[in-house]
Amino acid sequence: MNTQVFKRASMTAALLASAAFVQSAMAHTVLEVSSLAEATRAYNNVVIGHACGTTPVMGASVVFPDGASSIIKVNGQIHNGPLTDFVSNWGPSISVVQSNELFSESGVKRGPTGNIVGFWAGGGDVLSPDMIGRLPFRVNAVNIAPSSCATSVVFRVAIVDVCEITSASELQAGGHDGAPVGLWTMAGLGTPYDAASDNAARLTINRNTTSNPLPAACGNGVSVEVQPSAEQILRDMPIVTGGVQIWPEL
Amino acid sequence: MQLRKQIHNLLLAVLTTAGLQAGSAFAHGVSEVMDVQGDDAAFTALARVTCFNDGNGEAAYLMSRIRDKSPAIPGLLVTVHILKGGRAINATDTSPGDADYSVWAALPGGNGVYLLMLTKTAAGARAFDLEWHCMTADNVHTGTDILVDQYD
Repeated sequence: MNTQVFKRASMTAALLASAAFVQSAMAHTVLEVSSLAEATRAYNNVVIGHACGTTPVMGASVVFPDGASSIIKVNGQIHNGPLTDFVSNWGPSISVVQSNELFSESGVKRGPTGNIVGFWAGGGDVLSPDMIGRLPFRVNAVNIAPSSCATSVVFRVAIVDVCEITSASELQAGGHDGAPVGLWTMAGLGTPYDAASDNAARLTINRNTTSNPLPAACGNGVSVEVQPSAEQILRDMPIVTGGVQIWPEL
Repeated sequence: MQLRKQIHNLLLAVLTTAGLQAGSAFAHGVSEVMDVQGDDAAFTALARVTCFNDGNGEAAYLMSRIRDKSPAIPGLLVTVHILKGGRAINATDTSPGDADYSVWAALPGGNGVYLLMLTKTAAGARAFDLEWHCMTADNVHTGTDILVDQYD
């Protein structure tokens, strides 16, 4: 596996982009299942909604907050404690489904202790600009800490749709319709992958207040949001396979 | 009843394979080996195992066992520990280097998050196999997920 993964796709992309009837569905890249109850598993998909302007998507890179370096907000305010204050078992809690229905190649991304923190897919066919694409994964059981006041925890999932292979410094070129990538990521982190606004997909875990009732002192409880840190995005967003980084170009 | 036992055994076989694959995640690049340098008696692996009802029933307990595959060295043994809710249990492979696992360690803690810890008694690299399964009160395998927090 090498950069040929994307080079083959580039030829098809050029053909599709030149078609007169190229359309854009103008839908964001999101998760098919954006909300589920705690302590349950759910099969899910990253749903790629449209091309980069008229350039078809040839691959995608997906990063979940690792829970260790993540930015945690409670009712919108920064929380300086660990994620275990609110969630008992996020590392993150996902598994990736092997599939070549959309792209021919895929792989997992692992964090420092070997947990899966994201995945990528690309190569083979490109995604037709007038269709949507799905990349499958599974959300494993996520437990909200019984002693916490969290009623829900939102994990922001950073996704980059790759339409053209460039260096990292070229990712921001071209604006929304002319960029080489679709940036469904957070804004303001200071990375080359930042979006103009907070566009990362949402995965919300809702507390089961029957089996895991709020402590009496919590009142109505709090909402928690977990975002990937800049450090993690820089580490995990590039696509590396066989020890070689194939996107962005070095 | 016989069919149920067969299904149970099949599930265990499948999950054992899955467990060994997940063990690679423990190894973090040094597949299923603790203390690769052989100089760290305090080497510890720590993980969180989540037991939940995946449709097979509510979890009653987590069980785990370990097999030390490296040649026996006097005074060097590996142990798996399970902890949850103020209770803990462990199992040691007392015959390193052979094909036998330790006995099963089983901790009844219901649904929720258990800590699973591996330790050893002295410095020395140890190649190992580890299994872990969340089980119902009827001894049927149920929802089991794992995250690794430490491997050093």
